[in-house]
Amino acid sequence: MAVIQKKICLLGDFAVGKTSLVRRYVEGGFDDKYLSTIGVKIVRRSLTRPYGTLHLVIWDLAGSDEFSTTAPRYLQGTAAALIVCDLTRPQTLASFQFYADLLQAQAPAIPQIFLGNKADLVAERALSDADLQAACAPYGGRYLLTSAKTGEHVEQAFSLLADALEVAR
Amino acid sequence: MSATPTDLDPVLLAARAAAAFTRTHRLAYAHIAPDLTIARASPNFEKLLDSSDTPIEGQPLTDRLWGFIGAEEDLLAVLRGTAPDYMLEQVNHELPDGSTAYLTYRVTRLDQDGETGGLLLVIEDVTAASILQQHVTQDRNELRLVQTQLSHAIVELQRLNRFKSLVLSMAAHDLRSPLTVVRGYADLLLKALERGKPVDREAIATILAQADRLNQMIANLLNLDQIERGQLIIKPAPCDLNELVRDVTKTISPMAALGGLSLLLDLPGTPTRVYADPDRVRQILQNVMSNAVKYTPSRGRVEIVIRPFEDEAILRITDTGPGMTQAQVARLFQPYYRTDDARESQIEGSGLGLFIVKTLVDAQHGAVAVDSEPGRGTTLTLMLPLANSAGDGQDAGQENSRRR
Repeated sequence: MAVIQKKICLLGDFAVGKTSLVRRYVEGGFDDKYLSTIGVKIVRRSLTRPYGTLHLVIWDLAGSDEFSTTAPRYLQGTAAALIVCDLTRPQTLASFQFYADLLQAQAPAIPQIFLGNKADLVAERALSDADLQAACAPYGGRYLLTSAKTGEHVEQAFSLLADALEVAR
Repeated sequence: MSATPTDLDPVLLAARAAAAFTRTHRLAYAHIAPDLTIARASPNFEKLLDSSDTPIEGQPLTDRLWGFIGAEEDLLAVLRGTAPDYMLEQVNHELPDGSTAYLTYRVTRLDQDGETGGLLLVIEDVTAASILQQHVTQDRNELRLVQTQLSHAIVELQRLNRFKSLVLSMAAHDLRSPLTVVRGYADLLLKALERGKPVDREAIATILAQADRLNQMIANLLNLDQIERGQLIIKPAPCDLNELVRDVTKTISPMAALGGLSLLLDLPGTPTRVYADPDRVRQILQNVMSNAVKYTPSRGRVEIVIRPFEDEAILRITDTGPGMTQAQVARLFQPYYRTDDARESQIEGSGLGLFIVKTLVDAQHGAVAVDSEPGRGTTLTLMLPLANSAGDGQDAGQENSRRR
């Protein structure tokens, strides 16, 4: 049986919930306390696939200022990416384009999915589906509404990326 | 006779320097073979990584350090000498006690007699400096989040302030006018009753018309609040547009009768089933039909026609009112917009009705358009999806929340 390792990057502004999404996906938990990431957290989750094992090696990268100084080169060799925004902070959507362009330059034509996170905060939601659609349309990517708190669409986001990786293989 | 430092073999000197450095700087190193397996590691290598499950020598680098997965090409470039080094800074490493160590990986080429001897991986523990940096980043980001929350609060306060001003201005003028009329006519009716005179049906019709106007103004205010808060709830279901038009006609008939207007309905003989929220459609019709009646002069005509066309129901309201210029039509759906003629006339209005109409129609996948010309009246066309053509979204009980 084959064993394949693929690097996946999570990109997005600070406090959009990248670390929480990874924690939900890898450990199945959630912590409301916000803790800024500096540098990069690298974790792995193994998936059993028909051909063997797929190790998703997930890079949770620091957002915003820290990202611009250190992380662009971290994107080298990435096989797929999730670009995350916070549905309650419209300014985090503006960064979609920045991260998508950077990804295009460092790792062209790789599968990517856009995530509108914190979907559980219904009353505070400030970004509509149309906003997300318009932001990701130029990159041909699809988007999902996720909640690291409730787990909504988190598993699905990574599964879709894993499927896309196999198509691209 | 012992050797002086100057007599030391340079390789031995380098090794001793490295050993001294590893003692003082919490760093470890490993020799990576050209096939990217770990050939040899310093004694503290596994301690620094806090992993000692299996011997490290002979293992692929990417199996032991996931940070190098995807970096194979970069490592080979260093090996070939086409890149000076490869570096990963502040790789977070979770320790068994839950704390985080921050490690920096640097890979350089090892030369041996001009030939490559593989790669040298140096891992440095930069936790102390990184923790300080993390605290600074944490404080800065939390400050930015508070700034964002404050900005939202300011916008919300401004909105509430505008809304409060609108409510006050409507309460002071628009809401008061129909109440004055109601009170006046109620007085007349009372006096007539006291004098044993017959009840004036026109007075009752006026009271009813003014009560409906009040009701519509309050509904518009509530709609505006929901729209501005992004909390407009639409509950679509199949409903008969003909029936809704007939319902609303009953409420505006007294107003039309007072103005001596002809109110004509041309509806299909069979139900026109649209997929929309019936309460919202009633609000839309109340606004557009009462507008047509309000702005049409005495003895004028308002005609309402419904026709199904392809997958939509088309509703046209044509009046013989004063009409509008193209520039006025272009601004008609903006909030608080009223034409100069409307402002100067005695006809009361807040300029919110058509803005709310458009918002409600858009939220139900419909469309609204106005065709007008000064002196030639106005036709307002409303399109709503027919019940059998609105696609997958027709499940009973589905709710859409439209947000701005």
